[in-house]
Amino acid sequence: MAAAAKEKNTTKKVITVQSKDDFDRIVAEAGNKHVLVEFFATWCGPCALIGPRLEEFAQEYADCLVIIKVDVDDNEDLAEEYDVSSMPSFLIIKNKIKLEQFVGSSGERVHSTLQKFCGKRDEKTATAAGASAGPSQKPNRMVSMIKVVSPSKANVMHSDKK
Amino acid sequence: MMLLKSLRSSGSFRSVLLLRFAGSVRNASKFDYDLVVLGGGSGGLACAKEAVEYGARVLCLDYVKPTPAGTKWGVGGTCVNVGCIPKKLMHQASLLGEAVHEAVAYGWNVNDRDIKPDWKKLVKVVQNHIKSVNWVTRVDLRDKKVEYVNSIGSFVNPHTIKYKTKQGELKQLTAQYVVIAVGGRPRYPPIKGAIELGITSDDIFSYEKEPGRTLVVGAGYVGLECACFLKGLGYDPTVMVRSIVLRGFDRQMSEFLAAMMTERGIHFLNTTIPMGVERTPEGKLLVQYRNTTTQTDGSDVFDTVLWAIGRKGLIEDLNLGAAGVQTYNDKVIVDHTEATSVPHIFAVGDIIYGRPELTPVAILSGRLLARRLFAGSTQLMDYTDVATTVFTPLEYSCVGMSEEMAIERLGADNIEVFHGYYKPTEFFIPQKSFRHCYLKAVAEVSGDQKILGLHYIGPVAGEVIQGFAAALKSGLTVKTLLNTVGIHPTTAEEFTRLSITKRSGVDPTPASCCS
Repeated sequence: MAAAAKEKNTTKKVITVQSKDDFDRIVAEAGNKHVLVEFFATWCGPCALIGPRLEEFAQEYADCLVIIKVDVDDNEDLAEEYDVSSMPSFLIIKNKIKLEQFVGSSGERVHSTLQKFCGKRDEKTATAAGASAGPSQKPNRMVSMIKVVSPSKANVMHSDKK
Repeated sequence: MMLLKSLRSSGSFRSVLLLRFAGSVRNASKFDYDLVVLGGGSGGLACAKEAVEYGARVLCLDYVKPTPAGTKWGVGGTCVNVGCIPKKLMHQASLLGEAVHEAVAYGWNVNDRDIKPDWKKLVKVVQNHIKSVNWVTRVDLRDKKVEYVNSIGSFVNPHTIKYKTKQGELKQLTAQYVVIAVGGRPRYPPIKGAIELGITSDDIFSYEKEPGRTLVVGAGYVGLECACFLKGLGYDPTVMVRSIVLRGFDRQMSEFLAAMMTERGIHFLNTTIPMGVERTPEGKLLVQYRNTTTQTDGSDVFDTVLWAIGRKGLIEDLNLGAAGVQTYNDKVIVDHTEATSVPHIFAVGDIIYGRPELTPVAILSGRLLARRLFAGSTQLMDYTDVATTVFTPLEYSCVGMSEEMAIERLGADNIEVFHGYYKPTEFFIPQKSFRHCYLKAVAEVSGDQKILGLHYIGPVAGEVIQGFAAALKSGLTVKTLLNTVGIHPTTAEEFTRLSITKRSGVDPTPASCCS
């Protein structure tokens, strides 16, 4: 509840890529985990909107994937390599292979893509969120609280899902 | 050579293909690039992107030296970054501030007392838009396979360009054709404190602090437009005019525009020149100036000083001497084909001497040049009857000759000037001043009366005049104009209702509309 919400805020999980070398290193070190790459720009409105959700996804899907952000103005070479023309653009990479690429700031699209690769998560968001945020909080597309799943539970969930 | 010439004159499709193939094979071995464009602004980019359409191998070099205040920007040139685009956005912002007050008159339940702009937010959204345009420009160049380098290119010899990479490495390349499109930058006056303490249009659109009480030195369109949007945003601008406002524009319309600005509370220091700027103990700017008519000195304190005294061409870094390109003052001399004194070196845009310094002029001339170089076109740029607009709160737009130019060229007896004041319908309810809503048509006196120039002060002047520019180019006559049915209620229709001539001496103020 309140404690869990605080726990979420301690460490930022989304990594901002500094260079192509940095990018290659992160992709290599991801091992078997998926890498969700967001190509963004500081001047891109929709990117700013989806930013917080990415942090939530990074927490929620920490066992399955790493989320990284690439500023297209600072990393033109990467943007060119992946033929990025609009932002935000997303890639899913696993074992250095690009599995998917799409454009758009729809949180739903990102979420369903993550679910496709990482499996559904148990999202009991409404109850705990409601307690801390108050009943006046409008139900909206923003996930109000992420239940942090411990690694052991995650494995159980994976094996449950055949 | 002979084979190519006969192929060209035969003109058949196959021979055009053969010609192009032969041309590229011949050039591929001799030059690194078919075309190198120096400058990635309106003219340079248009030329580069058009050239690749015809198979040319193109390199575009663009670089922005930071202003003394440290401002810099991305690819796209003056228009995108520190010209037309941010100017129009800030003009719009100031008009919207006016609109809030008008809304109250129309029954909107808004609190229009003490509305204030959020300057930082305005700058942020304007800069975000500019950056998105920089990005789209970069992607466009990438998609069209125009090679782009962010560095200053300069001549080693007529066919060789050198530049330094970001890592400091010196590179050299050869080009069959070179187009100089480096544009210009604002001038600073040669007085104490000008560079250290003043800013220019290069800085204002990303200025980190609120401009506050601003002195705009210069009464060309840049100065007037800046003063007007600053006024509309609630700041307190003063315009310092060396001699006349809007040099080169129709005198009567220019004076009307200045009167409109005065009516709106913008102060003018007429026939005055700045002598020096210094910082006060409170951190403001003390400007010393001299009125050249009364020969008296004065001074005043401002938060911001903005120089808008003219622009200089950026020939200084090009090493044009090594190429043999002739210049006049700080501009490149070209002929009617945009060729410089060196046959394979051309120039487009603000850098050329004696042409209108406007984005659409640079773009069209750049495109036509590329077609002549790589697509066998012979079409030349027509620099006459170019329409333009000054984006003050009541805007001034014109196409064709000013009244004085018509008198000078044809003689006062051979021209007829139709004119009239008008009252935009929307102005009545909020009681907006229409004192300076005025338009005129300058025409030949005889026959169907070919129209030589059209001038309009009022709302959305650019939108009003654009269509008339095409009409003028097609040979619009007073007869056709007055037989054109107007669209009602608009302000543009006033052109179709012109009936009073200056010669008649009749009062050009209408009683009311619809009659």
